[in-house]
Amino acid sequence: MELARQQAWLARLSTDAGLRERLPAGPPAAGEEAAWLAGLSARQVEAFAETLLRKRRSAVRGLLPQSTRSLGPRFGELFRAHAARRGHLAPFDDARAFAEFLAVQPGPIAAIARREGAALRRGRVLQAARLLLDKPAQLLRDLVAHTAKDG
Amino acid sequence: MEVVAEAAEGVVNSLPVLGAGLGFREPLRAGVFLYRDRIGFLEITADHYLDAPARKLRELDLLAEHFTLIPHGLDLSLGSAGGLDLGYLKKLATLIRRVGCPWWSEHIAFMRAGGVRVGHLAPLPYTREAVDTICRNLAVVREAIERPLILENIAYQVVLPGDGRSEPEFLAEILERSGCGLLLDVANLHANAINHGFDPRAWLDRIPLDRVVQLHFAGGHWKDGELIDSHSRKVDEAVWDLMDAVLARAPVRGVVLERDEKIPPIEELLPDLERVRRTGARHGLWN
Ligand SMILES: [Fe+2]
Repeated sequence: MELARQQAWLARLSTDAGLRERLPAGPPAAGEEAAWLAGLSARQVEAFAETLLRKRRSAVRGLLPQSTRSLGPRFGELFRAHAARRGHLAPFDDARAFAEFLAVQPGPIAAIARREGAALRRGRVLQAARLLLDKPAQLLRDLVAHTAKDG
Repeated sequence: MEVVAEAAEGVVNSLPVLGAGLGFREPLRAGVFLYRDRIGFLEITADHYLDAPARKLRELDLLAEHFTLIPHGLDLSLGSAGGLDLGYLKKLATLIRRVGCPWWSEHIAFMRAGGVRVGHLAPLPYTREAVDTICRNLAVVREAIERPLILENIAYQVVLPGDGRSEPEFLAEILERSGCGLLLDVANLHANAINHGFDPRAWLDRIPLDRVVQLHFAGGHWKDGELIDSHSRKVDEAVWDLMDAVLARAPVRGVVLERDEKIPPIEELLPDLERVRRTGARHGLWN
């Protein structure tokens, strides 16, 4: 199986908890791909996925300090539930998506997360405005490059 | 191919000796200026300056006035079968020109595939196709960036099915074909040896030590019986031992202490830099 397919499988498996759960029931692929998947250690892939989750979690903690404080020990479990639904996101998008997820949870966290998510979006708009003043040419280049990003 | 290797050796030999350096992180900003004379050089995370506001770039220029800076990239994804992100590469080239560094570094890994961002350095299989892929991507990089690039060995939790190559053979083949130097992370080597049960000394005997330009070292933490390379704790004595073994045999130009989590006051990191300086001096690498 070619490298591009191998990489796509590892990327999906390590960011999609649901896909990992379905693996023991038999590989979700056939032929060459099934043989390659059978050569992976489920324990190793799970450990790698945990590292990714831990990295995401610590980035989001830093971006949503109030929600983090108010959730206390529930943070880990709720973040895991959010992460399982969303796959990998860049830190800022992850924090915003997690705030949206919290905003529909029961209890006082909903209002806190809604406020903090909105503040995060305002901060982003300000940052973009600053970049536009600092280096308009770069911002334009970024916009063009963004649409042409590789897979 | 031999010509490339010989030219590369010449490049490695002509690189300046920088000594004991520190991975720059924002909380350390005041400290690095305060203890300027105890820090040989700084490694900066290139990605932090690619879309940076003017304030951050001013900070970079100020750092560059006082230190030799070595940019360390995270997101180039040199191992991606899908090729490189050329917009990202262009920004990286601009940063490297601005900093004027003697060399820069990236990882032997991939960060994205099939439209999915992994968000962390993912391992490559030890195969001929992966060697070809990374060498093809490196040729594109060289068109955009002339400064010497050195490649880092990653800490990996997953071993992908390979074609019979070992990790040292895989690394040696990439260095040989690309002409790049090696950024040997001895903490990654230690974690991999523990987690995958191999002898790190035997591993060192099998890589081209004459290509090692720089080292990384750091402290990790244990989780579920596995050593995680988190750059969060005090450095393990076993990592110091490996560093000593490499400094005794390789023409190392600089060593960088990495700390990414639970960053302590800089005063707690300086004794480690002093120990690196003494170890390198004992092996005649610097004063
Ligand atoms: Fe490293």
